[in-house]
Amino acid sequence: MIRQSVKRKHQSSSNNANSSVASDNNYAKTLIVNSTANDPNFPLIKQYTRETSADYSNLLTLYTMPPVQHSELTLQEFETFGLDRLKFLMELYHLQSNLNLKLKEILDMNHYSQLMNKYLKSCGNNLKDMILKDYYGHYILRLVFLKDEENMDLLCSMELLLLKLKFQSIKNKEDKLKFLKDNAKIMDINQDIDENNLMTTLSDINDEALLGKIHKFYNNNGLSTVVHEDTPILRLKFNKIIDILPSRSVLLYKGYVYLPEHMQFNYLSQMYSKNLKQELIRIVKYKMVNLSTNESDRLIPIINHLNNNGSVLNSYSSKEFENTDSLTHNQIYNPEVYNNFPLCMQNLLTNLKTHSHLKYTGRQQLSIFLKECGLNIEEALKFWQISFQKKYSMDDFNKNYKYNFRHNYGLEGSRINFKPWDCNQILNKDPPSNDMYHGCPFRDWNKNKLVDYLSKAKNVYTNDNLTKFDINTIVDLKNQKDYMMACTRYFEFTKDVLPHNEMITHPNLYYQRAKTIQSNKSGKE
Amino acid sequence: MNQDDLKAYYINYFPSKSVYEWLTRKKVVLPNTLSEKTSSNNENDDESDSDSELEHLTMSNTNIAANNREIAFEYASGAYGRYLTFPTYKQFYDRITNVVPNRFEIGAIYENVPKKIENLFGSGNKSIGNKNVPLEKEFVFDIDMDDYDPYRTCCNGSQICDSCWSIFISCAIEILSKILYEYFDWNNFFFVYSGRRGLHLWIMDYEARILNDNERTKVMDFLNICKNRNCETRLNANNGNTCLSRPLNPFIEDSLNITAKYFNDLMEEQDPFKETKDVRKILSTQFPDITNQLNTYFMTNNEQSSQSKWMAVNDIYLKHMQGKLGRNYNDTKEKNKLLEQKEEVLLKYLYPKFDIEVSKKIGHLLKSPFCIHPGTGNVCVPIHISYQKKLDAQPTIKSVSKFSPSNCPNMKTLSKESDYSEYVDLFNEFLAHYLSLEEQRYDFEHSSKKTKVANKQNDLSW
Repeated sequence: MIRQSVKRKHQSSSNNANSSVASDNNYAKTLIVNSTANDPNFPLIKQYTRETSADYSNLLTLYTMPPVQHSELTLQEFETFGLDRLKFLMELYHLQSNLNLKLKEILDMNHYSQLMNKYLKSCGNNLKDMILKDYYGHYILRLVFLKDEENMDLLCSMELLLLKLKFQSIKNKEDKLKFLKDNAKIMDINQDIDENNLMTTLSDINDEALLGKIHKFYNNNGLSTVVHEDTPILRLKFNKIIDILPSRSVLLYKGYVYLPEHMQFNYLSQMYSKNLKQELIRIVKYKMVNLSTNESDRLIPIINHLNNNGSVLNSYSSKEFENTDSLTHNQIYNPEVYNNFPLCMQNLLTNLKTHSHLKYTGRQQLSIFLKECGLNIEEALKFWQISFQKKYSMDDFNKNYKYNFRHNYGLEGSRINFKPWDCNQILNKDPPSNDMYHGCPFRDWNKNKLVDYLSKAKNVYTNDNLTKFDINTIVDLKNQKDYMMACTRYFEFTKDVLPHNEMITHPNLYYQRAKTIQSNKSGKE
Repeated sequence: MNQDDLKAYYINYFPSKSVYEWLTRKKVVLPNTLSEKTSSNNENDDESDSDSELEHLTMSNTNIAANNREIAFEYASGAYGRYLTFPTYKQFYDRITNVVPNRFEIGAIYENVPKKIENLFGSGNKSIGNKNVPLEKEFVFDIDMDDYDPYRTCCNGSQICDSCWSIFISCAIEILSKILYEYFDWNNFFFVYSGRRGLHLWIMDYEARILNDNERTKVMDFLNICKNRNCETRLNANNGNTCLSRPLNPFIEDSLNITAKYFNDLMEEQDPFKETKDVRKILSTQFPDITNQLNTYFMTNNEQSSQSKWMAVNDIYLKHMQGKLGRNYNDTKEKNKLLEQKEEVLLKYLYPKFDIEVSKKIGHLLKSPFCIHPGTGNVCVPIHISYQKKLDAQPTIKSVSKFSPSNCPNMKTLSKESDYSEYVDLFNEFLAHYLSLEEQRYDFEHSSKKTKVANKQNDLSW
């Protein structure tokens, strides 16, 4: 009922009486904005009335207002805006979480401005167009990242990163302060604020000891006076802003943190991310009731398509590949199987063969990987026993190693069914020293060894050698410490391109994708 | 450890009722039968009558702190039993005196009765619906004396003597007390000698008890200015760049003022620079020449006291700066650099060195006060207690001033000496205050929600 009336209101305004006719000219706006906007059961967005107009003059925004006044959007645009936003956020997030770049580095190395040009300016250099695209992209992705809690958190942290970058990239201090002032209401409307958590000023504080500390701490850093008599200070219970505490850059006194103006952004951005999460949860609740009706149907395939692209970001989880296949101990060195292993595992296997032994970290990395590939415990014990037999008798093996492998399968001790390591875990272990072969060859092999190896490598299907260009691409990525991308390229050069620009973030993902390509190719022949 | 002695300790000395009340935050009303049995040591309310057992039982059913508080036993065999719960005092007392654990540790209060999840797949495969969330536990700190090894000359490892105790631990207690009142506004906490080489701190303020893992971790990151437990890379290791940014956060500045009080004692009693071969261990400077000069001075004046070596740092530094900067040697910036480095030496030596893993997790276990340390036989006694008698008043602080590890009550000598009661009295005094606070809080929470229910409970009140 509510939906019907909402729809009618906006149809009249756009003068499009019959919205169920599917064509590219149909507007996707209803779903993004209006289906939720006027719903009185939707408290967080209640304030979005058509009278309030969003400020589209600035890219820096907390998206408190959907782009209702600019609501004409074709399906085509809906898809490209969403996809561009997705790629934009993913690439920024990749810089932060996989390459461990700090905000300042992302800005200084021009990554941010380049990606901005690529994904936001693509619709023209007009600032207003950019801002609109930014708004649309944001609201479209709100519909995409709803799969589960993890999915929502991912969007929140990606959007939070973008907000921080936007804020940091502003050079003019006045603009920053204006933004904080304009958005102070976010802090006010939040339910976490009680009468003890308030905006105050120095002149309102009576505690002499506290005043002294504020002056000494905030105004004594060699710079100009930061906290004046009448500049706003935000007073918050310390656990409301717990993440800022470890930096020791804020004054804590009697259980409250006193935030001077220049630090309030940190708090604001945390609130933003929290609120965004809440809105996502509300959308899920709302979607169950409303998204299945007529005109939304046209959007669902697009959203699903975007969602699939988004799931690429999720690290490999074994759920994704119902593991029905099995592997036996004598298949492991069989080229059909062996060629599907990523380089790190091939490296371990080669060295296992030469040395008839692997040290602990290497054993862990390989054995749990193989477990996930479908090698059951009996086969695994056979495999390792045979691999070790040149150096260790059956008795020695049973005495010294059997427990370790059974433990990895959750059959001993804590009985945890261990998950195979993903690339981040592998990269976070100490690099291998002498006689150790775990880790990531793209990081741990020196350049010569890697080039040497790559120049001998062949594409499994075309039997072509890698070109000089291919090799240089990988070595460049190695130099940039982007090892997962190096591995991904290696996959593509030696096999085939991955769907959806997927990136290798897990050895078992590599294996599964390689197997899929293998079965597709053999199916075609 | 002798089982009979330990059993005798649990029966005759261990203030089981107080400890149980502290853990469950409710007064225990003893039925007559039990009170006769234990009256040798514990004073009991005479008013308890035949109804009180029933009342006690019904009360305990609603007391989540009693039902769902994890206690872990280390049995005489060395086996370890986690997730024990004691809904009534009688169960607690009976179990302790019958089983006679070597010691027992205290965990969190959970949403549901904590149980070890055992199934065919082991404890790793908890299904999501099975999560039992820890609701609250005292915020605890642990300081181990062996973390001070690079800074003390009297003992090492698990040894401890009155000198290192009175310098390092007293300083830690003073600093922590200051930080907790002044910066966190927490007033209800006590320090406990762990029985061998350490100090435990229990913070009972409601706000502290309900901190979750993330919040505890963040608070520890805030407080733990000596980041790395590997001592050489603690403060001041950054090649002459001081590690703490200036101006110092006020809590560090206060701590620094406290360390200054102890530093002279440290120099006199511990002679910390006696064996110093490399001044870079004390302080690093940005100028290798200065380091060399200082090294030469330390080598050639090896017999000099730490005091004069410490003074020499100033002289040599300033002389060098004078030579380098000519008449600008009065440059305050350069002087500040030296000052900052010296400040960090003080903090490096005397700021509390936490075993932060103990504090970070709400569910982490910590040995209960009044347990016997299995290695030394010492009783784990509270030595410094703070609580706020009236709101907005200065906190009351009580401590056993003459305490030192060497006169800590020991299981073997308890019967001969009567000092032990002083510790129990101290604890009981605090406990009475704590329980009344909890009662107020309980009443407030319930009266604001359900006035009717609250009234009913007041009728049944103890």
